[in-house]
Amino acid sequence: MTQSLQESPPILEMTGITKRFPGVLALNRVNFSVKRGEIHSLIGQNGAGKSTLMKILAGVYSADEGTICMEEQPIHLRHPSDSLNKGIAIVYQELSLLPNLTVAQNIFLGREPGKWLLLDNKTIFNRSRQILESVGIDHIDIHTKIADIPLAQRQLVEIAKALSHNPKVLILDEPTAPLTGDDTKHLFDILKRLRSQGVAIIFITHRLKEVITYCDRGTVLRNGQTVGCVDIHNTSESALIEMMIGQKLENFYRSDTATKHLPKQEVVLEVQGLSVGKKVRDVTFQVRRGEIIGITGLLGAGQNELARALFGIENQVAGVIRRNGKPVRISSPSEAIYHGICLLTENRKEEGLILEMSVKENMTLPSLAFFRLSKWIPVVNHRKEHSRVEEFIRKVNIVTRSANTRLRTLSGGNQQKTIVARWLLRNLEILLFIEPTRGIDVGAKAEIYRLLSSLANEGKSIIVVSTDHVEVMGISDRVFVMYKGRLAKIFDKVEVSEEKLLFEIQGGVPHD
Amino acid sequence: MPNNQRDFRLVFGRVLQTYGLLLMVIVLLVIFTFLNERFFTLQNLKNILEQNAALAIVAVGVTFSIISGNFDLSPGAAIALAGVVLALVYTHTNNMWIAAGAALGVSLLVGLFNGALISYFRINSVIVTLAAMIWARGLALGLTSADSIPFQSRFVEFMNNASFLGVSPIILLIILSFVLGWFLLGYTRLGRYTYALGGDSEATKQAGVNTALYTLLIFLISAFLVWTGTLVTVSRLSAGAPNAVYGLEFDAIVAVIIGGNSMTGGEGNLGKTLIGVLFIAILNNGLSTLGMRDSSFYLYKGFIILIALFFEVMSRRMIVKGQGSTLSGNETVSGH
Repeated sequence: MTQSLQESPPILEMTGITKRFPGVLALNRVNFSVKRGEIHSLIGQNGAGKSTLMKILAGVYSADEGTICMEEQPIHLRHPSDSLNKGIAIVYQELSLLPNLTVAQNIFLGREPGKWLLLDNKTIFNRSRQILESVGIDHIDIHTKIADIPLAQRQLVEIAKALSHNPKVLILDEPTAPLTGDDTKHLFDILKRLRSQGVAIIFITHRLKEVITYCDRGTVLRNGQTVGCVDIHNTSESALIEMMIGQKLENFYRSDTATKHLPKQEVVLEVQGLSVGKKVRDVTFQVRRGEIIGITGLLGAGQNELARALFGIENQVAGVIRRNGKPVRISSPSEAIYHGICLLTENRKEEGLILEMSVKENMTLPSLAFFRLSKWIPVVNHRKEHSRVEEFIRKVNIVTRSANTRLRTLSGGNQQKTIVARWLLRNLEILLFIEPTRGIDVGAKAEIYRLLSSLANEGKSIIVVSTDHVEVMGISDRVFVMYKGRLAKIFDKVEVSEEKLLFEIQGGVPHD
Repeated sequence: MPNNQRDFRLVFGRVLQTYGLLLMVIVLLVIFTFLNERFFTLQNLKNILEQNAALAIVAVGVTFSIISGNFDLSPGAAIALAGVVLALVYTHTNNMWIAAGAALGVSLLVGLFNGALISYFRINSVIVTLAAMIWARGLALGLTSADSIPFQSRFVEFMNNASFLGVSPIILLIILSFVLGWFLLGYTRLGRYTYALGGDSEATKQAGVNTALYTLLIFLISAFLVWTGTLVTVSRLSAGAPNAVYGLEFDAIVAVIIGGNSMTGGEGNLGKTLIGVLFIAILNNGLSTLGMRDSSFYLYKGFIILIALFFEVMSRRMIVKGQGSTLSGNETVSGH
């Protein structure tokens, strides 16, 4: 099987592809090829050029240099319809389904069968059913509105829509980003079936576990260049990471000696007997200045509710919270902020970023009052505001053209850093993070790790909630494990190991 | 315990959303009947429909534009302009066919102009049609030196006095407009794309739909209905009046929205519009048959509309809160 795979000529071959955007060399003589009947992953950090390369295949962009061959014939892709006609279909990262239309209506949107203005609904329904059945997702009712079906199923509908074109090459741009483990497995079952039918599948993801588990080959891009093409069966996750970022991720982890110079004993936050409904039960711990606490556990073990309670956005909170030794009442975010506590979640929209406003405006939104001309003149001192913002852009290393750039144009990682800067501007001392690296790529992860570490070194206290236990181990000074709402175990960095941690996460029962 | 509460909210919200306005329509009917003995008579009910025929017809077009995610503020002024043109052409030619044709041309031109600016030049529909509302009214006033142009014709006579099985041509035109709209929305590409555009115009474009063309078509449909509304309006006035149907567009938008169509587009149907229109029509007629002067008429009308909107918003919120129960089983982290 693998033998024949390696011998067969590529169905699609891109050679020497170069693409320039104003001021940026997005792709620099990239080579890329896929074969019939393989799942080929395209790997790289954000900005490595994956999406640009795929948009060239999809006919959205045209390459400045290079050739594309399909079944050994050179082809020219000037328009998305050219690509579809040649048998290349793409499923984009942002789903293109319309939530207010039904499954069947979406699959045929834009190419409804029927004469003149009239719709042939019967054909639409029958063909939709056939297509869904052919990919093994016949449990979806074609008359349901997209808004009413779960995200995972929407993804499947999107794939069904692409497959309705009978493609030879199917491109999936981060299809698993919103999916849970089971749904991902289901998705790959479908992809495997397509693979056995001879479809070439290009799979873009930054979840390397999926690459290792499900893919046949992988091409790694970095800074718009091909780093290499590897046989996935003969490689490892850490080898791929090294190819992606040019160095090991562990280099960004927190060193054991990072906080040695700080007076460790100063307790800034004390939580005693904290309960949140039935989700968090009787949790007691202390947070010291300059330390990073990582809280992990199974999904729903109460770690998120714990962090949210400290930020005053949970109901039914009982227990005592002491800030610098004094009991405080935290029942709303504004009280939490008053006491120097802020929360950052993985849901950036919910955190109050205003994408249409600039980096500067977003950063200073809750602290504008500090930039008044004088105590009696409530007018914004723009010069002062600007210089502070510049200072923090440098400090947390936000990659942006200027302070006035619209936030929408920044990458997810940089938007995340903008919120961090927002709260740093307020000089808050306790930063709570829920899943700070979920959904961002390895390069941005490394940046966030470095940022957390340097903040802690400056004396901020940081609590990171994450279900990624490897991450928690790597970045924390102390690791808390929650199990069924209780704080089951506290590890010091030196004593924690992956085995011990997994054991406690599962509730202290042996597992395979 | 919280689940029961949520289910209750969901069910009650849905019931309120589906039947709430219908209930308010009935309440209005009861109140007005109680206040005025001549209100609930066959003659007056027929009168209500005929008085508000232009509103009902235009509301069909407005439903299209609102579902597609656009606003159309121009129908009232467009009716005044087309009506004035109709009257002018008729008094010069004495031929109703030519006059009605000219009015159709003017209506379609206004629709084409608005639609082209919105679809091909990508200017916000509120601004474009707000401007049209102003310039079309201005043009109508200018063409007539601000005077009404009365005329007599067999057509007007026919519209006001003929009857098909007891249904007047004006009411028939309302029915035909709703049937036309219902057919287009449910059974044609145009209808499908109207919903798609309101859901996400960018995604619709990616699906290969010529979004600009269909946006333009939606405004042309609206223009055709404006013409139909013009025929009704000039017939009832027996004149082309530059200041006719003032504020009609706002009544139409209010009717569409309190009927329960989404203001942001993407969903809705003409059944909702119909109930909304009935509500406004009954309100208009009921308040004026009570002999209210302008000042109190508008005051009461505004507040009663607010009450209707309040129930509409309440029902939506209840449904959203109620739907929380179906999501709570998921692994979603935040529970807003």
